[in-house]
Amino acid sequence: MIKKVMCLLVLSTLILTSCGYNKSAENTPVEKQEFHMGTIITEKVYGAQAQIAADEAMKRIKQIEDLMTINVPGSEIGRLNEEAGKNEVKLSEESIYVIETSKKFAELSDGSFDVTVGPLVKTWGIFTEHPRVPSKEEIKSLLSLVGYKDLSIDSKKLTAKLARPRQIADLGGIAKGYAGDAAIEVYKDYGINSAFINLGGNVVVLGGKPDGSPWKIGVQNPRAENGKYVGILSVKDKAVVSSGDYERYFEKDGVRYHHIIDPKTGYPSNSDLIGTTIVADKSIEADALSTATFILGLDKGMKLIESLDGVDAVFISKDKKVYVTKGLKDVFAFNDESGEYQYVEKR
Amino acid sequence: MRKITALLAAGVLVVGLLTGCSGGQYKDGTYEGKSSADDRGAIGQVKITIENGKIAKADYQGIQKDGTPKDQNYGKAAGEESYKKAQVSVEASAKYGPKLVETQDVEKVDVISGATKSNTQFKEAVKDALAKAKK
Repeated sequence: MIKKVMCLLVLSTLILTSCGYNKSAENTPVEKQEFHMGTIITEKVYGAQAQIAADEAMKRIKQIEDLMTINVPGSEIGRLNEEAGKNEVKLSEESIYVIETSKKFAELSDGSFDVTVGPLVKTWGIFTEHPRVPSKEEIKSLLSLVGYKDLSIDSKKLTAKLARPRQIADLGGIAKGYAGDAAIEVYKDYGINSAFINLGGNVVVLGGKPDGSPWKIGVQNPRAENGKYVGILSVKDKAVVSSGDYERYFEKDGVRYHHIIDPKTGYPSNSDLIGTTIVADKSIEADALSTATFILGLDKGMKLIESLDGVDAVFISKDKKVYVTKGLKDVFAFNDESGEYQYVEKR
Repeated sequence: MRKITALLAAGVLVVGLLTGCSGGQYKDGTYEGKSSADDRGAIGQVKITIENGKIAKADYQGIQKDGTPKDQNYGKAAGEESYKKAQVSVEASAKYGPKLVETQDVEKVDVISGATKSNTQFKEAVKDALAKAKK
């Protein structure tokens, strides 16, 4: 009996202290939201230096945007495009790293992810106020400008060149991924060990939550409003990046045109997938692979992911099935509030 | 015997955690909360009723920039296509409140991958209201 009373006492003390502890200053996160890289960026950072870490990470992202944007003249990648077919362009180490990585994933995906799709993205204008459906002839002619092999890189001299005039490298499908990794490095520099950053749906987490438990990341339901998910990933120190036909699109004559252009057809990708989510150590990889697998489709996409170490995926198909790779068996909890999806245990 | 004590202890711990940490942290009463404005200047407003330390009722309402609520007329002026979309979101947001009463927790997930527009106004409004209800 005494034992039991003791037990109760100890427990209630534990509970009281643990509740109180949650309210201490150390556990109050800094939350910050800004608009960069064409999207809303949200940070949640815990730790003594959380404020400065969050501020500096935003600055770092702005810096990367300035280097890699092609919407503002004079950026590094802007110059690379201006000099297409003419000269080699001197670039920063980080721009070289990002285009080298983009080439690596172009090769791995057999050209389904290809940053030289730029002329088509520009002509469709999906990211502008005035998107349009180009003519078949236009698309055919622009397709001849696509080809990652025309992008040569000298990583010793830190130069790059596009082989032919009018070619355009567009890092829109990978720069946000790189920026996420860079933000995590900034957090680490300030001794942070619990934080996340969300770049318009690209999520990267550092460590777990302050209580040591993993971060819980919902996977967006591609056919429901923003914020509705089909399942929850519990992760620490990971990047979780999604691509889908629902993110940006326009409608014309009853047809929906989304923003992910297939570099091989010149039209919005029309695979059997409506949403892909990649879980990886680096968000630059997750970013490139979410686009690549979205275009490749279920079978080829699954093969690609399973050929890579430390990379996993959640694929959502047109017929509303949710597939996950082996590595996510205990990480992903299927939790579909809409009741419209069917969970297919690992293939 | 030892096993039973341990089991009891575990039981007490679970009950303790549930009542101690999530149920009892709010004062009874009615509290209002507001979100920040979105890119169109619209905000979310919530009215939460706490009974016995728990969320007993939550009413959520989106408010447009000009102060009119997002109701069955929301989006009507913008054409049929836009009206349909607007009404889907009105219907969906009507479910936020009851869902909160059911789960008692606005933070089931920390963040959502692939949600480009990070629709967090409901969460913001709830957090604002609950901050006022904290003991």
